Amino acid sequence: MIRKLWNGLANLFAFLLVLSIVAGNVLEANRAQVDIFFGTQSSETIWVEDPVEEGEEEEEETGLKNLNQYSTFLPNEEYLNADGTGNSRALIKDAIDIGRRHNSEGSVLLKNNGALPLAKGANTKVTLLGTYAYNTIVNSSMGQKSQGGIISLRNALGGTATDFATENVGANASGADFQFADLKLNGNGVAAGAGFTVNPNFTGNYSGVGQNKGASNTYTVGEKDPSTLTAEFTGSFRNYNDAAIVVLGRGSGESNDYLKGGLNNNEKAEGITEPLELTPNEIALLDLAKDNFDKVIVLLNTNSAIEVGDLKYDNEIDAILWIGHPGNYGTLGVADILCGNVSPSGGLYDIYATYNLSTPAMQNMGKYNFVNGSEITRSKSKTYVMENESIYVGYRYYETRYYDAIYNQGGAKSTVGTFASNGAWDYAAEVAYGFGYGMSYTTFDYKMYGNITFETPSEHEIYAKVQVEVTNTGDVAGRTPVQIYGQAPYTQYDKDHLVEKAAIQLLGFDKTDIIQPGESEVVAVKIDMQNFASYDNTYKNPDNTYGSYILDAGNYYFAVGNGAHDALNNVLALQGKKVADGMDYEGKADAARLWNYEYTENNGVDATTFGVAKTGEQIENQIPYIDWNFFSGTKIPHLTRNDWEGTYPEADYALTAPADMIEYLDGAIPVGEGAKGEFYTIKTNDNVSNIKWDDTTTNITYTQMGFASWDDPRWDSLLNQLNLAEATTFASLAGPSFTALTGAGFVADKGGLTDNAGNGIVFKLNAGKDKNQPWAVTTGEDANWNGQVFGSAPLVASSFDRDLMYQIGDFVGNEAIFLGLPIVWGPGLNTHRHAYNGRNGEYYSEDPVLAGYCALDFAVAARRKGLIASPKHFVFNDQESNRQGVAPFMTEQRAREIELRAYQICMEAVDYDGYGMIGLMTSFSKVGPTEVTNSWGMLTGILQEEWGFTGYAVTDISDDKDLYTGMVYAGCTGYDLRFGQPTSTSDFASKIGGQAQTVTGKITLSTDMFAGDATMQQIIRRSIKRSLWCFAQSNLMNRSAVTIDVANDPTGDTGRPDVDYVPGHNETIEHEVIWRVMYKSAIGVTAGLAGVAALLYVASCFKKKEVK
Amino acid sequence: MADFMKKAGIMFWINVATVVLALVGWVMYMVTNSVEGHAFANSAMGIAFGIIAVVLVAAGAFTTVKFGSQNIITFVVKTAALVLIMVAVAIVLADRAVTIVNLMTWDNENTVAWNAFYTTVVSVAFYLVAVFTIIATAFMDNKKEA
Repeated sequence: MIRKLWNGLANLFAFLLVLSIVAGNVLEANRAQVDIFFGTQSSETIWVEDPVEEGEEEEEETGLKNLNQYSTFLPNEEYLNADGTGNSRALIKDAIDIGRRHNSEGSVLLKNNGALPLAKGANTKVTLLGTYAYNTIVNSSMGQKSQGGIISLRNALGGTATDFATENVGANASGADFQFADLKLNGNGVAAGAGFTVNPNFTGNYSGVGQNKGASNTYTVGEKDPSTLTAEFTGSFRNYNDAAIVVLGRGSGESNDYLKGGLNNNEKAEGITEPLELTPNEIALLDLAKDNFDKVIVLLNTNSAIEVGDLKYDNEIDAILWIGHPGNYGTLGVADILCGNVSPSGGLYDIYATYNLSTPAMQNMGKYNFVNGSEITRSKSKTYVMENESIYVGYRYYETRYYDAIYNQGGAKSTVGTFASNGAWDYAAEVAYGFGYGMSYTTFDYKMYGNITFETPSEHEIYAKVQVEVTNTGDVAGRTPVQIYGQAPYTQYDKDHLVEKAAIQLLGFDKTDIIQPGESEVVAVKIDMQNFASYDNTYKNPDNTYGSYILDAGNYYFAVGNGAHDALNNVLALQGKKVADGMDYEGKADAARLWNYEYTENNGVDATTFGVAKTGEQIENQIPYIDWNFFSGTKIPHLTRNDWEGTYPEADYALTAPADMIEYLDGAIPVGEGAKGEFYTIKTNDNVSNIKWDDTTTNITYTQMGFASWDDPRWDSLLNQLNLAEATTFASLAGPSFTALTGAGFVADKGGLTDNAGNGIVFKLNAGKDKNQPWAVTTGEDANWNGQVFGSAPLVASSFDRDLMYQIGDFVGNEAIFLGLPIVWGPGLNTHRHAYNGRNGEYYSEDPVLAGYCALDFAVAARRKGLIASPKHFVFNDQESNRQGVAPFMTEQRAREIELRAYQICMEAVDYDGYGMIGLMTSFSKVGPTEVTNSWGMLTGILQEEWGFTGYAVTDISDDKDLYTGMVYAGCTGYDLRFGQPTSTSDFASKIGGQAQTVTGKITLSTDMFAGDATMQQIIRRSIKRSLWCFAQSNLMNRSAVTIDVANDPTGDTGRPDVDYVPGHNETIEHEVIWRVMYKSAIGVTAGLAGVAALLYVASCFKKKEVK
Repeated sequence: MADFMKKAGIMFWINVATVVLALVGWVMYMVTNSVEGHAFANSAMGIAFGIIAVVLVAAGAFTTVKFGSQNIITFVVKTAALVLIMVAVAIVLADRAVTIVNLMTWDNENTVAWNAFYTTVVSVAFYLVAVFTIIATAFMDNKKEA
């Protein structure tokens, strides 16, 4: 009997022992994420001071300066206490203020018949209505989430203080509350909150309603059936009847799109099938409001254009305010607008069409599998999306067609693509609210001021200075965006070569200060004329390559307006057009300017000025394979304004991949073939004798390279000191953890140096990566505050406020200093190709210039605080459907002028003298049939050679691990291996996968695989230099005593403590944190028990024998 | 043989079932290992440990009949089988943890990864049932005590 017991227990504990070991391995392999979850710091990079020899601390005359640990980047003064410790209260208070500004500046008033603003104070009694009035979507379901305490809409409108204990998302973790009276807009403005009296019966009626915060293929809006509201509630309307505030919501999030016809069956009704249409319950709710209230105010809690065309013309709907997804604190900004604390000043980030299906891009979106998918070997290569709408994305389509309809050209008046028009295509019917449009509580007059002047710092750079005089013609003080648009000539050359030109495009923008009634302000906007150039992929260059940016000779127009449509009408007015010609209202000719570009050479096609990049690199086609028609087989036309009717995209192309495309899809195009090739065959017998490794003749650490320029010759010495095996391992990784580069003094970081967010740093203050910092917040009431608090990206875009964009970057940079985190994988910078993209909440806009400047200002401010912003997803993450490897097809012109231009603005950073973005995350998707991660043309040809990018480029999570050599060759600096990271050279192969692909098939990875390959050794050296160059400008330098290049110091050397410099070196130490103690204890206990049970079993065997 | 079968009681058939369970777990390991892009980094070890474990479980079935379930030889053979199966499971879980986390968060539309996940679940489930059976039989005796 006893023997059975010991036998069984021995086996049971052996089982538990192995299970504990498994748990330990899994935890250690994913420690960076585990630490964030538990708020622990399992490993730490510490600074160990070295003995100072006499004279060693002397600074040299080279322009270099020594700094002590925690001296390179300091938090803003207002976030520090007098003793240098962190003032978390001030930090959070500022977060609330910035969050509030997201909505006070970014909310867009679309309609107002005078109902708004409501009078501030308790005498205004309002009733909130709707599921999303109670359960307002504050941010995405995935990708850009919110964490911690929020300020609910009912609280912002009717409360007097935050209520974080009961109002929170994700985790109840925001610390102590703030009184609204203490929250002053911009630090010295009006106190927060509208002070209304909010119908209290609302809460009981909606408590418990669901919230569908992410897009999905069969979306359930979830609006509560208003007939189920209690009689007590409806009966109380008369007591709170100054206004009904109805909130309509749609979610946004990662992984899923809205799909055509994708409204949940339970909510469909006759004629109502689309997820962004108003559902029967929403219509009934609006009817209830209209029946019971004189004032009906609708708030649009969405980043996806809800179809509100009917509401625009409904006289019983008094006001419509778009509020996006307001983040944790943005409802205070909504309250500011509703009660008139501020006059609204946002302009729409996207066009709001009457029916979303009317845009050409919607004809082909969603899930498409190649008809001959079985002939394609690679599983991630079987899906596609045809984007043959060319450059006519968003407003570019509607406005250009409007313009052509007025000139009666290109078949613009045909019925093709009509959804709301009665007969011929009609702009007024097809569009509800235009791009950039937004109302105010006052009125503004815009007109061009002075002449447009041009600056040409080099042969290939032209910058225009456009000045606008803005006059407040109403009786309320307010701000307004100054949006500068342009129209380039559409010539016969363009028509012949299929170069497309939008009739109007945003060129630049800024925002006025607060203008008092009757007063004026002149705003100057700098325009990079590169953004006015068009890409002609047919242009033959002198060296017989093809592709160039061109400027056609002819008339160029600059215009200002309340949105793109207004600006276009102003251009039309200058061209002499009137309502009689078909315009929907008269434009203002003095709000537009003509600039005639005289260019007589080359038949009037200037391919010289922008045919060479700012870097001096000649422009040429880099990604010709992105065009479906590059390959053999069926040709598909791209939309051209020269023939709207004949080229408007067919819906849902069913495509068969031709054989020459399948070679790309399967990754079988080697370097040197096809279009420069994407996949790499390792060489084994190159002469590598002139490439130095393990050089000990110099001793330069990366901590001595603070702010060193890219061209600093010391980099070569540092690279020579590296070990090839370590370098190869390092070049596979781009976060969160990094392996050691002993020769550069870079110790392995296993705790994580990256964060995946953008609207704040995603983890709690007490989960910081360096808890030894003097300002680290590890305990106290705010220790659990999570920095991911800000509203959706379109709110930032709609503000048209570059100061706000910069301020957000500065704040997130400060968060990063508090948390000791040098790299953030954000912001989102993909294009809103259409309203159905599930992730629109994370990306700014449909317009690349607007998006580009949003991201640029964020990134520059963050970089000045030592945070490397790495926008995602470079590039063509145009939809979530099939995002793992989907092949998007379009023209190279479209790619360069829409998706890529936003990134180009960030990388070239002309507004900051080239001090721009130095980080990047690549996309899951392809470029045509080739993975972005492996596209040399994209990652080296365009990104590095044309734009001069020398920064860090990480893949998206675990993307294309089967294509390692091609990934490195193309120009990524490593994989995002959030889970399962190699921690040393010894497990490099196993963690990357051991299955990297070349044209010749699978190869076995090893750290000496490039020993005989000179090309790859040079690429790896460059890859490492890019990563270290970024780290040397980041707040990672805070962990060490460092040497900085004063001339490149972005901080202005302010606030640094004046103490003696002590040299030293970094070391990594491990901590016995709670999860480590738990699994080690489990291993110990189960091992002991298993051993004891086994011994007792054996003993019982012998005991029995003795008895016998 | 006839004598052997005569001595084989219910315990033998439980052990045979354990062999089958472990074998199915091993076969499914091979299947999940072959899903495109989802081969295990240490697949050779997993294959080897799995098949050795199956052999040991079979040997345990034999020694159970031959020497009894509480005999020290049976104890050593079956405990070794248990440990080897668990090591195989460990290899699977350590490698698939990333895939599983991805599927449960941002990668829930990756059909290939779901294939890898489902086949993994089947493999691990059969392996674990085999382990539980070994543990259960360790508490049992097929011979009356003297």
